[in-house]
Amino acid sequence: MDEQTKIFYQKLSIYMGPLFVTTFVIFWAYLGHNLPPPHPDWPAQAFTDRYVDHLTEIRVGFLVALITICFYLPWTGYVTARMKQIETGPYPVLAYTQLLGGCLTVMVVSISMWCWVVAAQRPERAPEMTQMLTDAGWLMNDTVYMCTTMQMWALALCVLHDRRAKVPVMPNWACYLTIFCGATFFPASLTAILRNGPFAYDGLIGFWVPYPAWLIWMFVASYYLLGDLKRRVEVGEGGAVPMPVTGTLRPAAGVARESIS
Amino acid sequence: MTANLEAGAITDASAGKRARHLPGAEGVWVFVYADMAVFALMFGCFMWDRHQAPELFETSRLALSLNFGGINTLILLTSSMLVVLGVDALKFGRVHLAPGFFGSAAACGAAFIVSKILEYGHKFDAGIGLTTNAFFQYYFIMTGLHLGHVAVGTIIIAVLAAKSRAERPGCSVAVYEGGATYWHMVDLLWVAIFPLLYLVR
Amino acid sequence: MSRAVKSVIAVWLLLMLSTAASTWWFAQPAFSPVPGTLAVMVIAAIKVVLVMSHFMELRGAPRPWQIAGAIWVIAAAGTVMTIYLM
Repeated sequence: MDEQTKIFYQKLSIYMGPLFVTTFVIFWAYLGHNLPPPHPDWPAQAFTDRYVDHLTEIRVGFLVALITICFYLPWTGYVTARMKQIETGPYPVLAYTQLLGGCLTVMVVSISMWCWVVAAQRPERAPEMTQMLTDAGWLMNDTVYMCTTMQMWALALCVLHDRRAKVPVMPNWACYLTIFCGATFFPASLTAILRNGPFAYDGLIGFWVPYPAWLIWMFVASYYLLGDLKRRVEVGEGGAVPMPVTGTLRPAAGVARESIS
Repeated sequence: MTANLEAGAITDASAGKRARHLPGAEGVWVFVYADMAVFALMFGCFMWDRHQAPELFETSRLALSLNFGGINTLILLTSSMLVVLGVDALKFGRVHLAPGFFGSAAACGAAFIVSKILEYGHKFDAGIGLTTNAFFQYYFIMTGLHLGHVAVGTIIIAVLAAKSRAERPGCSVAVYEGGATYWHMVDLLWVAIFPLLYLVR
Repeated sequence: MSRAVKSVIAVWLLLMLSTAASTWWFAQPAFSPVPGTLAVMVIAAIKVVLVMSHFMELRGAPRPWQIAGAIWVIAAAGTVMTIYLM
Protein backbone atom coordinates (compact mmCIF):
# COMPACT_ATOMS: atom_id res chain seq x y z
CA MET A 1 0.00 0.00 0.00
CA ASP A 2 1.49 3.36 -0.91
CA GLU A 3 1.72 6.25 1.52
CA GLN A 4 -1.10 8.25 -0.05
CA THR A 5 -3.51 5.33 0.25
CA LYS A 6 -2.50 4.70 3.84
CA ILE A 7 -3.13 8.32 4.76
CA PHE A 8 -6.46 8.17 2.95
CA TYR A 9 -7.66 5.23 5.02
CA GLN A 10 -6.39 6.82 8.22
CA LYS A 11 -8.29 10.00 7.47
CA LEU A 12 -11.38 8.03 6.48
CA SER A 13 -11.24 6.13 9.78
CA ILE A 14 -11.19 9.36 11.77
CA TYR A 15 -14.08 10.82 9.76
CA MET A 16 -16.09 7.70 10.60
CA GLY A 17 -16.33 9.03 14.18
CA PRO A 18 -18.27 12.23 13.46
CA LEU A 19 -20.19 10.32 10.78
CA PHE A 20 -21.24 7.81 13.43
CA VAL A 21 -22.39 10.63 15.73
CA THR A 22 -24.41 12.27 12.96
CA THR A 23 -26.14 9.07 11.90
CA PHE A 24 -26.70 8.12 15.54
CA VAL A 25 -28.51 11.39 16.22
CA ILE A 26 -30.60 11.13 13.06
CA PHE A 27 -31.51 7.43 13.16
CA TRP A 28 -31.19 6.38 16.80
CA ALA A 29 -32.37 9.54 18.50
CA TYR A 30 -34.70 11.24 15.99
CA LEU A 31 -36.24 8.47 13.84
CA GLY A 32 -36.05 5.96 16.69
CA HIS A 33 -38.19 8.28 18.82
CA ASN A 34 -35.62 8.42 21.59
CA LEU A 35 -35.80 12.21 21.80
CA PRO A 36 -37.17 12.35 24.46
CA PRO A 37 -36.86 8.72 25.52
CA PRO A 38 -39.94 6.76 26.63
CA HIS A 39 -40.83 7.26 30.27
CA PRO A 40 -40.02 4.15 32.34
CA ASP A 41 -43.02 4.65 34.61
CA TRP A 42 -45.58 4.55 31.78
CA PRO A 43 -48.20 1.78 31.84
CA ALA A 44 -47.26 -1.12 29.57
CA GLN A 45 -49.83 -0.17 26.92
CA ALA A 46 -48.08 3.16 26.32
CA PHE A 47 -44.96 1.28 25.19
CA THR A 48 -46.96 -0.69 22.65
CA ASP A 49 -48.67 2.50 21.44
CA ARG A 50 -45.30 4.12 20.95
CA TYR A 51 -44.20 1.33 18.59
CA VAL A 52 -47.56 1.05 16.79
CA ASP A 53 -47.88 4.79 16.20
CA HIS A 54 -44.38 5.23 14.77
CA LEU A 55 -43.67 1.71 13.52
CA THR A 56 -41.94 2.52 10.22
CA GLU A 57 -39.79 5.29 11.64
CA ILE A 58 -38.69 3.19 14.59
CA ARG A 59 -37.89 0.19 12.39
CA VAL A 60 -35.93 2.23 9.83
CA GLY A 61 -34.24 4.25 12.56
CA PHE A 62 -32.84 1.34 14.53
CA LEU A 63 -32.06 -0.86 11.53
CA VAL A 64 -29.95 1.88 9.96
CA ALA A 65 -28.40 2.84 13.30
CA LEU A 66 -27.44 -0.81 13.82
CA ILE A 67 -25.40 -0.57 10.61
CA THR A 68 -23.88 2.85 11.19
CA ILE A 69 -22.89 2.09 14.81
CA CYS A 70 -20.06 0.06 13.25
CA PHE A 71 -18.49 3.30 11.99
CA TYR A 72 -17.23 3.39 15.56
CA LEU A 73 -14.91 0.47 14.73
CA PRO A 74 -12.51 2.06 12.19
CA TRP A 75 -12.34 5.13 14.42
CA THR A 76 -11.36 2.93 17.36
CA GLY A 77 -8.87 1.16 15.09
CA TYR A 78 -7.14 4.40 14.13
CA VAL A 79 -7.03 5.59 17.75
CA THR A 80 -5.46 2.28 18.79
CA ALA A 81 -2.75 2.58 16.14
CA ARG A 82 -2.10 6.20 17.08
CA MET A 83 -1.87 5.32 20.78
CA LYS A 84 0.63 2.54 20.02
CA GLN A 85 2.91 5.18 18.51
CA ILE A 86 2.83 7.02 21.86
CA GLU A 87 2.93 3.91 24.01
CA THR A 88 5.95 2.42 22.26
CA GLY A 89 7.22 -1.07 22.94
CA PRO A 90 5.65 -4.51 23.02
CA TYR A 91 3.16 -3.82 25.84
CA PRO A 92 0.79 -1.10 24.69
CA VAL A 93 -1.83 -1.86 27.34
CA LEU A 94 -3.60 1.50 27.18
CA ALA A 95 -3.98 1.18 23.42
CA TYR A 96 -5.40 -2.34 23.78
CA THR A 97 -7.74 -1.31 26.61
CA GLN A 98 -9.02 1.45 24.37
CA LEU A 99 -9.42 -1.03 21.50
CA LEU A 100 -11.38 -3.51 23.61
CA GLY A 101 -13.50 -0.73 25.09
CA GLY A 102 -14.35 0.63 21.67
CA CYS A 103 -15.26 -2.79 20.26
CA LEU A 104 -17.44 -3.67 23.21
CA THR A 105 -19.13 -0.27 23.09
CA VAL A 106 -20.37 -1.19 19.62
CA MET A 107 -21.71 -4.49 20.97
CA VAL A 108 -23.42 -2.88 23.98
CA VAL A 109 -25.16 -0.22 21.90
CA SER A 110 -26.02 -2.82 19.24
CA ILE A 111 -27.59 -5.23 21.73
CA SER A 112 -29.66 -2.40 23.16
CA MET A 113 -30.99 -1.52 19.70
CA TRP A 114 -31.49 -5.20 18.90
CA CYS A 115 -33.95 -5.38 21.83
CA TRP A 116 -35.93 -2.52 20.29
CA VAL A 117 -35.82 -4.06 16.83
CA VAL A 118 -37.29 -7.24 18.32
CA ALA A 119 -40.01 -5.18 20.00
CA ALA A 120 -40.82 -3.49 16.69
CA GLN A 121 -40.85 -6.76 14.77
CA ARG A 122 -44.15 -7.88 16.39
CA PRO A 123 -45.71 -4.81 17.99
CA GLU A 124 -48.95 -6.74 18.61
CA ARG A 125 -47.18 -8.70 21.37
CA ALA A 126 -48.52 -8.51 24.91
CA PRO A 127 -47.76 -4.93 26.05
CA GLU A 128 -45.79 -6.21 29.04
CA MET A 129 -43.35 -7.90 26.65
CA THR A 130 -42.89 -4.75 24.58
CA GLN A 131 -42.35 -2.85 27.81
CA MET A 132 -39.78 -5.38 28.94
CA LEU A 133 -37.88 -5.26 25.64
CA THR A 134 -37.79 -1.47 25.79
CA ASP A 135 -36.54 -1.56 29.39
CA ALA A 136 -33.97 -4.22 28.52
CA GLY A 137 -32.58 -2.10 25.68
CA TRP A 138 -32.21 0.96 27.84
CA LEU A 139 -30.65 -0.89 30.74
CA MET A 140 -28.14 -2.52 28.38
CA ASN A 141 -26.84 0.93 27.48
CA ASP A 142 -27.22 2.49 30.89
CA THR A 143 -25.63 -0.20 33.05
CA VAL A 144 -22.95 -1.64 30.73
CA TYR A 145 -21.23 1.67 30.04
CA MET A 146 -17.92 0.86 31.72
CA CYS A 147 -16.41 -0.49 28.47
CA THR A 148 -16.85 2.96 26.96
CA THR A 149 -15.55 4.68 30.09
CA MET A 150 -12.43 2.50 29.96
CA GLN A 151 -11.94 3.36 26.29
CA MET A 152 -12.16 7.07 27.03
CA TRP A 153 -9.93 6.98 30.10
CA ALA A 154 -7.26 4.91 28.35
CA LEU A 155 -7.12 7.41 25.49
CA ALA A 156 -7.00 10.42 27.82
CA LEU A 157 -4.27 8.95 30.04
CA CYS A 158 -2.17 7.91 27.07
CA VAL A 159 -2.25 11.38 25.54
CA LEU A 160 -1.62 13.03 28.93
CA HIS A 161 1.52 10.93 29.41
CA ASP A 162 2.89 11.65 25.92
CA ARG A 163 6.41 12.90 26.60
CA ARG A 164 7.81 12.99 23.10
CA ALA A 165 5.28 15.05 21.18
CA LYS A 166 5.94 18.74 20.83
CA VAL A 167 2.23 19.11 20.17
CA PRO A 168 0.17 16.39 21.88
CA VAL A 169 -2.63 14.57 20.04
CA MET A 170 -5.24 16.39 22.12
CA PRO A 171 -4.69 19.47 24.28
CA ASN A 172 -4.67 19.06 28.04
CA TRP A 173 -8.23 20.32 28.50
CA ALA A 174 -9.62 17.88 25.93
CA CYS A 175 -8.02 14.97 27.82
CA TYR A 176 -9.65 16.01 31.07
CA LEU A 177 -12.96 16.59 29.26
CA THR A 178 -12.65 13.00 28.03
CA ILE A 179 -12.15 11.78 31.60
CA PHE A 180 -15.17 13.81 32.74
CA CYS A 181 -17.41 12.59 29.91
CA GLY A 182 -16.51 9.00 30.78
CA ALA A 183 -17.35 9.66 34.43
CA THR A 184 -20.81 11.08 33.63
CA PHE A 185 -21.94 7.52 32.80
CA PHE A 186 -21.70 6.30 36.40
CA PRO A 187 -25.00 7.76 37.70
CA ALA A 188 -26.73 5.95 34.80
CA SER A 189 -26.48 2.74 36.85
CA LEU A 190 -29.32 4.18 38.94
CA THR A 191 -31.66 3.75 35.95
CA ALA A 192 -31.83 0.08 36.97
CA ILE A 193 -33.43 1.05 40.29
CA LEU A 194 -35.30 4.34 39.83
CA ARG A 195 -38.13 4.73 37.33
CA ASN A 196 -38.98 8.36 37.99
CA GLY A 197 -37.18 11.69 38.25
CA PRO A 198 -33.74 12.82 37.08
CA PHE A 199 -32.05 9.43 37.60
CA ALA A 200 -34.47 7.36 35.49
CA TYR A 201 -33.50 6.37 31.95
CA ASP A 202 -35.33 9.36 30.52
CA GLY A 203 -34.09 11.75 33.22
CA LEU A 204 -31.70 14.67 33.28
CA ILE A 205 -28.84 12.74 34.89
CA GLY A 206 -29.83 9.36 33.42
CA PHE A 207 -30.10 10.49 29.79
CA TRP A 208 -29.59 14.19 29.05
CA VAL A 209 -26.10 14.43 30.57
CA PRO A 210 -24.33 11.13 29.68
CA TYR A 211 -25.55 10.61 26.08
CA PRO A 212 -24.64 14.13 24.87
CA ALA A 213 -21.36 13.87 26.81
CA TRP A 214 -20.45 10.72 24.87
CA LEU A 215 -21.29 12.25 21.48
CA ILE A 216 -19.63 15.60 22.22
CA TRP A 217 -16.48 13.76 23.28
CA MET A 218 -16.46 11.86 19.99
CA PHE A 219 -16.61 15.16 18.07
CA VAL A 220 -13.90 16.84 20.16
CA ALA A 221 -11.57 13.83 19.94
CA SER A 222 -12.10 13.48 16.17
CA TYR A 223 -11.38 17.17 15.65
CA TYR A 224 -8.02 16.90 17.38
CA LEU A 225 -7.20 13.52 15.79
CA LEU A 226 -7.64 15.10 12.37
CA GLY A 227 -5.38 17.99 13.33
CA ASP A 228 -2.84 15.51 14.62
CA LEU A 229 -2.99 13.47 11.40
CA LYS A 230 -2.41 16.61 9.35
CA ARG A 231 0.60 17.44 11.53
CA ARG A 232 1.96 13.93 11.16
CA VAL A 233 1.65 14.08 7.38
CA GLU A 234 3.40 17.44 7.24
CA VAL A 235 6.37 16.28 9.28
CA GLY A 236 6.48 13.12 7.19
CA GLU A 237 5.43 10.62 9.83
CA GLY A 238 2.63 9.12 7.81
CA GLY A 239 3.92 5.59 7.53
CA ALA A 240 4.51 2.73 9.88
CA VAL A 241 7.99 3.74 11.01
CA PRO A 242 7.73 6.11 13.95
CA MET A 243 10.00 9.04 13.39
CA PRO A 244 11.72 10.42 16.48
CA VAL A 245 10.49 13.90 17.12
CA THR A 246 13.53 16.12 17.33
CA GLY A 247 14.09 19.81 17.71
CA THR A 248 14.36 20.28 13.96
CA LEU A 249 10.76 19.22 13.56
CA ARG A 250 9.48 21.93 15.80
CA PRO A 251 9.00 24.62 13.11
CA ALA A 252 7.14 22.18 10.88
CA ALA A 253 4.90 21.12 13.75
CA GLY A 254 4.29 24.76 14.53
CA VAL A 255 3.27 25.45 10.94
CA ALA A 256 0.99 22.43 11.02
CA ARG A 257 -0.66 23.73 14.15
CA GLU A 258 -1.22 27.13 12.54
CA SER A 259 -2.82 25.64 9.49
CA ILE A 260 -5.36 23.70 11.56
CA SER A 261 -6.77 26.67 13.40
CA MET B 1 5.65 14.40 35.58
CA THR B 2 5.18 14.91 31.86
CA ALA B 3 4.83 17.79 29.49
CA ASN B 4 1.13 17.49 28.79
CA LEU B 5 0.17 16.64 32.37
CA GLU B 6 1.51 20.00 33.42
CA ALA B 7 0.42 21.90 30.34
CA GLY B 8 -1.49 25.04 31.04
CA ALA B 9 0.32 25.52 34.32
CA ILE B 10 2.00 28.54 32.88
CA THR B 11 1.60 32.03 34.16
CA ASP B 12 -0.35 34.36 31.94
CA ALA B 13 1.87 37.43 32.00
CA SER B 14 -0.37 39.51 29.75
CA ALA B 15 -3.21 39.51 32.26
CA GLY B 16 -1.98 42.30 34.49
CA LYS B 17 0.90 43.82 36.38
CA ARG B 18 1.07 40.85 38.74
CA ALA B 19 1.07 37.72 36.60
CA ARG B 20 -2.19 35.82 36.96
CA HIS B 21 -1.77 32.12 37.61
CA LEU B 22 -4.19 29.24 37.28
CA PRO B 23 -3.13 26.53 39.73
CA GLY B 24 -2.47 23.12 38.17
CA ALA B 25 -3.23 22.04 34.64
CA GLU B 26 -5.94 23.86 32.73
CA GLY B 27 -7.69 20.54 32.10
CA VAL B 28 -8.24 19.96 35.82
CA TRP B 29 -10.30 23.14 35.86
CA VAL B 30 -12.32 22.04 32.84
CA PHE B 31 -13.06 18.79 34.69
CA VAL B 32 -13.86 20.58 37.95
CA TYR B 33 -16.28 23.07 36.40
CA ALA B 34 -18.00 20.38 34.33
CA ASP B 35 -18.41 18.23 37.44
CA MET B 36 -19.76 21.17 39.42
CA ALA B 37 -22.24 21.92 36.65
CA VAL B 38 -23.67 18.39 36.92
CA PHE B 39 -24.03 18.80 40.69
CA ALA B 40 -25.71 22.20 40.17
CA LEU B 41 -28.25 20.43 37.93
CA MET B 42 -28.92 17.98 40.75
CA PHE B 43 -29.38 20.85 43.23
CA GLY B 44 -31.99 22.34 40.92
CA CYS B 45 -33.80 18.99 40.55
CA PHE B 46 -33.76 18.50 44.33
CA MET B 47 -35.22 21.94 45.05
CA TRP B 48 -37.83 21.46 42.31
CA ASP B 49 -39.01 18.12 43.67
CA ARG B 50 -38.93 19.54 47.19
CA HIS B 51 -41.18 22.35 45.96
CA GLN B 52 -43.71 19.71 44.80
CA ALA B 53 -43.84 17.94 48.18
CA PRO B 54 -42.53 20.23 50.94
CA GLU B 55 -44.11 18.29 53.84
CA LEU B 56 -42.62 14.97 52.75
CA PHE B 57 -39.18 16.52 52.33
CA GLU B 58 -39.37 18.30 55.69
CA THR B 59 -40.51 15.25 57.70
CA SER B 60 -37.89 13.08 55.97
CA ARG B 61 -35.16 15.66 56.59
CA LEU B 62 -35.85 15.45 60.33
CA ALA B 63 -34.55 11.86 60.23
CA LEU B 64 -31.07 13.13 59.26
CA SER B 65 -28.39 13.77 61.84
CA LEU B 66 -27.26 17.42 61.77
CA ASN B 67 -24.30 16.55 63.97
CA PHE B 68 -22.96 14.03 61.45
CA GLY B 69 -23.40 16.48 58.57
CA GLY B 70 -21.93 19.44 60.44
CA ILE B 71 -18.89 17.55 61.70
CA ASN B 72 -18.28 16.16 58.21
CA THR B 73 -18.23 19.73 56.90
CA LEU B 74 -15.67 20.72 59.52
CA ILE B 75 -13.54 17.69 58.61
CA LEU B 76 -13.48 18.54 54.90
CA LEU B 77 -12.82 22.25 55.48
CA THR B 78 -9.87 21.38 57.69
CA SER B 79 -8.61 18.89 55.13
CA SER B 80 -8.79 21.51 52.39
CA MET B 81 -6.82 23.96 54.50
CA LEU B 82 -4.15 21.34 55.19
CA VAL B 83 -3.77 20.79 51.44
CA VAL B 84 -3.33 24.54 50.94
CA LEU B 85 -0.58 24.47 53.59
CA GLY B 86 1.02 21.45 51.90
CA VAL B 87 1.19 23.15 48.49
CA ASP B 88 2.44 26.33 50.14
CA ALA B 89 5.20 24.39 51.90
CA LEU B 90 6.35 22.93 48.57
CA LYS B 91 6.26 26.32 46.89
CA PHE B 92 8.20 28.20 49.54
CA GLY B 93 11.00 25.78 50.22
CA ARG B 94 9.73 24.10 53.39
CA VAL B 95 9.44 20.84 51.50
CA HIS B 96 9.93 18.66 54.61
CA LEU B 97 6.56 19.85 55.99
CA ALA B 98 4.57 18.85 52.89
CA PRO B 99 4.19 15.09 53.52
CA GLY B 100 2.76 15.79 56.98
CA PHE B 101 0.19 18.25 55.66
CA PHE B 102 -0.89 16.01 52.77
CA GLY B 103 -0.91 12.95 55.02
CA SER B 104 -3.18 14.65 57.57
CA ALA B 105 -5.44 15.86 54.78
CA ALA B 106 -5.78 12.30 53.47
CA ALA B 107 -6.51 11.11 57.02
CA CYS B 108 -9.37 13.67 57.18
CA GLY B 109 -10.70 12.23 53.92
CA ALA B 110 -10.61 8.74 55.41
CA ALA B 111 -12.38 10.05 58.55
CA PHE B 112 -15.12 11.51 56.35
CA ILE B 113 -15.60 8.15 54.62
CA VAL B 114 -15.82 6.29 57.95
CA SER B 115 -18.31 8.80 59.35
CA LYS B 116 -20.43 8.54 56.20
CA ILE B 117 -20.48 4.75 56.42
CA LEU B 118 -21.62 5.00 60.06
CA GLU B 119 -24.30 7.48 59.05
CA TYR B 120 -25.57 5.23 56.25
CA GLY B 121 -25.54 2.33 58.73
CA HIS B 122 -27.85 4.25 61.07
CA LYS B 123 -30.22 4.97 58.18
CA PHE B 124 -30.29 1.33 57.05
CA ASP B 125 -30.88 0.21 60.66
CA ALA B 126 -33.86 2.58 60.80
CA GLY B 127 -35.23 0.89 57.67
CA ILE B 128 -34.44 3.87 55.43
CA GLY B 129 -33.04 3.20 51.96
CA LEU B 130 -32.64 4.61 48.45
CA THR B 131 -36.23 3.80 47.47
CA THR B 132 -37.91 4.95 50.71
CA ASN B 133 -39.12 8.21 49.18
CA ALA B 134 -38.09 11.09 46.91
CA PHE B 135 -36.14 12.85 49.65
CA PHE B 136 -34.03 9.83 50.57
CA GLN B 137 -33.47 9.11 46.89
CA TYR B 138 -31.74 12.49 46.63
CA TYR B 139 -30.07 12.04 50.01
CA PHE B 140 -28.44 8.74 49.09
CA ILE B 141 -27.59 9.68 45.50
CA MET B 142 -26.11 13.13 46.17
CA THR B 143 -24.17 12.07 49.26
CA GLY B 144 -23.21 8.80 47.53
CA LEU B 145 -21.86 10.49 44.40
CA HIS B 146 -20.05 12.94 46.64
CA LEU B 147 -18.64 10.06 48.69
CA GLY B 148 -17.27 8.59 45.45
CA HIS B 149 -15.51 11.91 44.85
CA VAL B 150 -14.14 11.84 48.42
CA ALA B 151 -12.80 8.31 47.93
CA VAL B 152 -11.01 9.26 44.69
CA GLY B 153 -9.74 12.48 46.28
CA THR B 154 -8.42 10.71 49.37
CA ILE B 155 -6.41 8.36 47.15
CA ILE B 156 -5.06 11.31 45.12
CA ILE B 157 -4.04 13.22 48.25
CA ALA B 158 -2.46 10.10 49.78
CA VAL B 159 -0.45 9.56 46.58
CA LEU B 160 0.65 13.20 46.65
CA ALA B 161 1.69 12.77 50.31
CA ALA B 162 3.91 9.83 49.33
CA LYS B 163 5.28 11.64 46.28
CA SER B 164 6.07 14.81 48.24
CA ARG B 165 8.54 12.94 50.46
CA ALA B 166 10.98 12.79 47.56
CA GLU B 167 10.66 16.44 46.53
CA ARG B 168 13.39 19.05 46.79
CA PRO B 169 13.01 22.83 47.11
CA GLY B 170 12.13 24.47 43.81
CA CYS B 171 10.26 21.41 42.52
CA SER B 172 7.38 21.74 40.10
CA VAL B 173 4.08 21.99 42.00
CA ALA B 174 1.68 21.70 39.02
CA VAL B 175 0.65 18.12 39.83
CA TYR B 176 0.11 19.03 43.50
CA GLU B 177 -1.94 22.06 42.51
CA GLY B 178 -4.07 19.91 40.22
CA GLY B 179 -4.80 17.40 42.98
CA ALA B 180 -5.45 20.24 45.44
CA THR B 181 -7.90 21.90 43.05
CA TYR B 182 -9.87 18.65 42.77
CA TRP B 183 -9.85 18.20 46.57
CA HIS B 184 -11.09 21.77 47.13
CA MET B 185 -13.92 21.08 44.71
CA VAL B 186 -14.91 18.04 46.78
CA ASP B 187 -14.95 20.32 49.83
CA LEU B 188 -16.88 23.01 47.97
CA LEU B 189 -19.53 20.54 46.83
CA TRP B 190 -20.07 19.32 50.38
CA VAL B 191 -20.34 22.93 51.57
CA ALA B 192 -23.32 23.18 49.18
CA ILE B 193 -24.83 19.68 49.57
CA PHE B 194 -24.85 19.70 53.37
CA PRO B 195 -27.13 22.76 53.85
CA LEU B 196 -29.31 21.70 50.93
CA LEU B 197 -30.12 18.26 52.33
CA TYR B 198 -29.75 18.73 56.08
CA LEU B 199 -30.56 22.37 56.81
CA VAL B 200 -33.21 23.64 54.36
CA ARG B 201 -36.47 23.83 56.31
CA MET C 1 4.76 31.37 57.27
CA SER C 2 3.88 33.40 54.19
CA ARG C 3 1.23 36.11 54.33
CA ALA C 4 -0.95 34.08 51.99
CA VAL C 5 -0.95 31.24 54.51
CA LYS C 6 -1.99 33.55 57.34
CA SER C 7 -4.97 34.74 55.33
CA VAL C 8 -5.85 31.12 54.47
CA ILE C 9 -5.90 30.20 58.16
CA ALA C 10 -8.12 33.20 58.90
CA VAL C 11 -10.47 32.10 56.11
CA TRP C 12 -10.49 28.55 57.49
CA LEU C 13 -11.49 29.85 60.95
CA LEU C 14 -14.27 31.90 59.39
CA LEU C 15 -15.49 28.84 57.43
CA MET C 16 -15.49 26.68 60.59
CA LEU C 17 -17.38 29.28 62.62
CA SER C 18 -19.96 29.94 59.92
CA THR C 19 -20.53 26.18 59.51
CA ALA C 20 -21.12 25.90 63.25
CA ALA C 21 -23.47 28.90 63.17
CA SER C 22 -25.48 27.41 60.27
CA THR C 23 -25.73 23.95 61.74
CA TRP C 24 -26.24 24.60 65.41
CA TRP C 25 -28.05 27.97 65.36
CA PHE C 26 -29.81 29.06 62.13
CA ALA C 27 -31.04 25.55 61.32
CA GLN C 28 -32.26 24.75 64.84
CA PRO C 29 -36.01 24.65 65.57
CA ALA C 30 -35.65 27.73 67.82
CA PHE C 31 -34.86 29.86 64.77
CA SER C 32 -37.87 30.61 62.54
CA PRO C 33 -37.68 28.45 59.37
CA VAL C 34 -37.70 30.83 56.39
CA PRO C 35 -35.25 33.48 57.66
CA GLY C 36 -33.12 30.70 59.15
CA THR C 37 -33.00 28.80 55.85
CA LEU C 38 -32.21 31.94 53.86
CA ALA C 39 -29.41 32.73 56.29
CA VAL C 40 -28.08 29.18 55.83
CA MET C 41 -28.21 29.55 52.04
CA VAL C 42 -26.48 32.93 51.99
CA ILE C 43 -23.79 31.63 54.36
CA ALA C 44 -23.30 28.57 52.14
CA ALA C 45 -22.89 30.79 49.05
CA ILE C 46 -20.34 32.95 50.88
CA LYS C 47 -18.49 29.83 52.01
CA VAL C 48 -18.38 28.53 48.44
CA VAL C 49 -16.95 31.87 47.28
CA LEU C 50 -14.32 31.75 50.04
CA VAL C 51 -13.30 28.20 49.13
CA MET C 52 -13.03 29.21 45.47
CA SER C 53 -11.08 32.40 46.05
CA HIS C 54 -8.74 31.37 48.89
CA PHE C 55 -8.43 27.57 48.70
CA MET C 56 -8.69 27.07 44.96
CA GLU C 57 -6.69 30.27 44.45
CA LEU C 58 -9.13 31.77 41.98
CA ARG C 59 -8.17 35.17 43.45
CA GLY C 60 -5.07 35.27 41.31
CA ALA C 61 -6.42 33.27 38.37
CA PRO C 62 -7.03 34.63 34.86
CA ARG C 63 -10.29 36.50 34.50
CA PRO C 64 -12.27 33.94 32.41
CA TRP C 65 -11.81 31.27 35.09
CA GLN C 66 -12.98 33.68 37.78
CA ILE C 67 -16.04 34.56 35.72
CA ALA C 68 -16.86 30.87 35.23
CA GLY C 69 -16.67 30.33 39.00
CA ALA C 70 -18.86 33.36 39.67
CA ILE C 71 -21.44 32.11 37.15
CA TRP C 72 -21.61 28.77 38.96
CA VAL C 73 -22.20 30.41 42.34
CA ILE C 74 -24.82 32.80 40.99
CA ALA C 75 -26.59 30.09 38.97
CA ALA C 76 -26.59 27.49 41.76
CA ALA C 77 -27.47 29.84 44.62
CA GLY C 78 -29.94 31.77 42.45
CA THR C 79 -31.80 28.62 41.35
CA VAL C 80 -31.92 27.16 44.85
CA MET C 81 -33.15 30.37 46.49
CA THR C 82 -35.66 31.18 43.74
CA ILE C 83 -37.28 27.75 43.93
CA TYR C 84 -37.23 27.90 47.73
CA LEU C 85 -39.09 31.23 47.76
CA MET C 86 -41.58 30.18 45.05
